[in-house]
Amino acid sequence: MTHVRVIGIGSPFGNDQTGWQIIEILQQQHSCPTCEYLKADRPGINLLHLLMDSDNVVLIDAIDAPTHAGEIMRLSRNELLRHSRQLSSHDIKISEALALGQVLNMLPDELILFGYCIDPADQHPVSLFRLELAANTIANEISIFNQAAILSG
Amino acid sequence: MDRKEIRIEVPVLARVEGEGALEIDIHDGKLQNVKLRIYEPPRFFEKLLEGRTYAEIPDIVARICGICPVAYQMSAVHALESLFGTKTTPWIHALRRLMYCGEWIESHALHIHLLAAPDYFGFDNVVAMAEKFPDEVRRGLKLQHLGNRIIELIGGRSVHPVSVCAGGFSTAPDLQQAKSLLHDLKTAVADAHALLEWTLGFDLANNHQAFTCVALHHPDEYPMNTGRILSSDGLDINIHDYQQHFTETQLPHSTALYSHLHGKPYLVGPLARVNLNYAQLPDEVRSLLDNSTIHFPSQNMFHSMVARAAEIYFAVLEAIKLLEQYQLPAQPQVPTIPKSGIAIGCTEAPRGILWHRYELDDKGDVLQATIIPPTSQNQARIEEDLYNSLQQFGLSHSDDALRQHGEMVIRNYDPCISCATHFLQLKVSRS
Repeated sequence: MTHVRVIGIGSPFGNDQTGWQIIEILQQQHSCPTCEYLKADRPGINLLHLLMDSDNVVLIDAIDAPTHAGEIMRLSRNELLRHSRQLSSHDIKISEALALGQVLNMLPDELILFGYCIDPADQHPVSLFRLELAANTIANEISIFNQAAILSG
Repeated sequence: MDRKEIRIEVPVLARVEGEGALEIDIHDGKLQNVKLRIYEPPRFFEKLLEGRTYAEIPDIVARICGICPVAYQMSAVHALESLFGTKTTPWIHALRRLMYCGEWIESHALHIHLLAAPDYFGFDNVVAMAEKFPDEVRRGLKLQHLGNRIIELIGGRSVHPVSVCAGGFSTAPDLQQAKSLLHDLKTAVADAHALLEWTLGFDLANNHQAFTCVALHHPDEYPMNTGRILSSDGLDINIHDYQQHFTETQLPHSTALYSHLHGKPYLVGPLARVNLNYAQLPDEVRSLLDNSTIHFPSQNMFHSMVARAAEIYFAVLEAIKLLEQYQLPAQPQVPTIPKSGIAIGCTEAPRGILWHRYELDDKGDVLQATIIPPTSQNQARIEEDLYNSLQQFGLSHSDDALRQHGEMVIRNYDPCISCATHFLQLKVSRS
């Protein structure tokens, strides 16, 4: 039985692949039997459909935060919703899609986002070492999240 | 209140795709000047294509737009096949048509629910609208998602799909996945019907104007990939003759070129298509339209939302018809042999006809590219509409009201300003 859906969000371009890369490492090195792993390519508003039929969702994405590059930020559902802005059909970010999802009652009960902070001006790919470090941190968090999900039934 | 000189500037247009602005000058109660300023930086795609091999064109032009990548790929591959003499199969034609159904569904659904309907109801955005119309917004998202799934099934992903190529497709969609999608599309027929009914119930503004419509026309099908270019003024030409009738000019206030047909602005897009191809819509769609208070051909741009909803319904039905016949092919692609010459293609992007012209050398490398998107073709018409609409609306309204009305007029055209790639001639020296 799947308790937690883990979704890596990204695109094929540069360090925007970080979410996907972390998902791959999680699957290879930290796979948990009650987790489901997905990769989403620039989902936009379609993110809401990826959240359906799951009570517990973890999102992993690269975050534009040059001064914190290399760090992991943990954002709760409420924190994500606070950052939403006016929707444009060409540029729907996670927070905007979630804002719409909240009004439509399409969000899972439990939702967190782990953001790997990148500096968009830095064209060097994130090193495997740093990705594995990030995956390790996120895996520990997912484990706690997963235990809570199992206990809540 | 006596107002001699009024200047209204909308520095940033909300709920349009890309960067644009509006300037209106009123002098002594008369409208002197209307300018739609496109200041999106030119993206030089036409220059980027020079020196590239023909096989790279679909992947490059797909990146002009994340909402309508299929349209750019289709116009491109049709242009190449036309020059190379490539004879594609009925299977390829059907799959391209299916892929276009997906794009129309997702683009139109996004426009109606994120842009046009919030406008109509006076909401700032779809989140506000969803609080009052949750079922309608959920229905719209479901349709939009189905459109993306069609593109993903065929193209590998919905944003910048990767399977389209000259000669067909690099792979054939999986049969089981096609069957699963067919099932979901059948359950969406009721949603598409309900969406059209919903838009037909709107009390849309009464804003009839005289304008020329331009669209593709095909004798056997509602036009998507193939057809001749027709206008409501009697034009009926092969797509290769486009530049003999349509001209482009650049004006100082815009980075996008203006198009004219025989010196006049014209309209492309869903309303133009429905106006010129009404008889080709399926019975289910026409019967809803025939029983409404809106009559096509319509000269009211506020009916564009209904035209989009009608096309969503059509595209759902068409996608079902195509998927019911879907089989795995012997080969998803036929061979192409490049040759030098001029390659021309024109297909119906969600926002209107998208015309491509490539000059290729004997290896099939691009010497020159011309890409004329629907949004830049509509630019002159948008300004003409603004002039007429604001006059009709009444210039004695407050500046805020004039601004809002102007924005609504522009949004009827669903302009994709980011796609308006076409810009000035450049000379580049390479050594």
